[in-house]
Amino acid sequence: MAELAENVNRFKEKNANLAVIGSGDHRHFKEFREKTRYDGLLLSDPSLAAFSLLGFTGGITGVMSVRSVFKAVSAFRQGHRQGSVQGSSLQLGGAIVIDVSGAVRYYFASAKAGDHPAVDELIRALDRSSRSDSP
Amino acid sequence: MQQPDISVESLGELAVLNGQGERVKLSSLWENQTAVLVFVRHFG
Repeated sequence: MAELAENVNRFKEKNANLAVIGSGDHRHFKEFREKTRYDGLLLSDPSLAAFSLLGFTGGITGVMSVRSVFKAVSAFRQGHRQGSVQGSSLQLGGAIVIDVSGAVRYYFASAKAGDHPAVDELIRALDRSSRSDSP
Repeated sequence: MQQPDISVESLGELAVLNGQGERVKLSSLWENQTAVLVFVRHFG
């Protein structure tokens, strides 16, 4: 999340509409912003309907994999602290890029907790999308 | 994970909540600009 927060302007420069969507109560947005320093569009899907439709749901095996535990320990050592969990702990994350025609330009589903697409990968998807729109 | 057969139309019909608790139709996010939607596991 920290990488995304630091790169919000790169999405603006690409004229893309970046939104972070969680599943917790929207009343926790302020706390989330303070922790992550993310200042872009923040939304919540408390029913998990979008998570589910996109296949961003997982069970306890995905959430508690050995790799995710190592990632959590590593993040902790680097000073990142996860506060109280707001939202469902059993769904996983992911990302999707959708252009104005409704075409899916990029899709990524986290296989495990802590698994997320790199910002560069999302930016490349935007570049590919704009190139294919060029006449 | 393989990309499921996503119905963008169905996705666009869904609504999420903004910071004021107001419903935002997902399709509005890619109405005028390419949308990058990042789904996070939890707020915390």
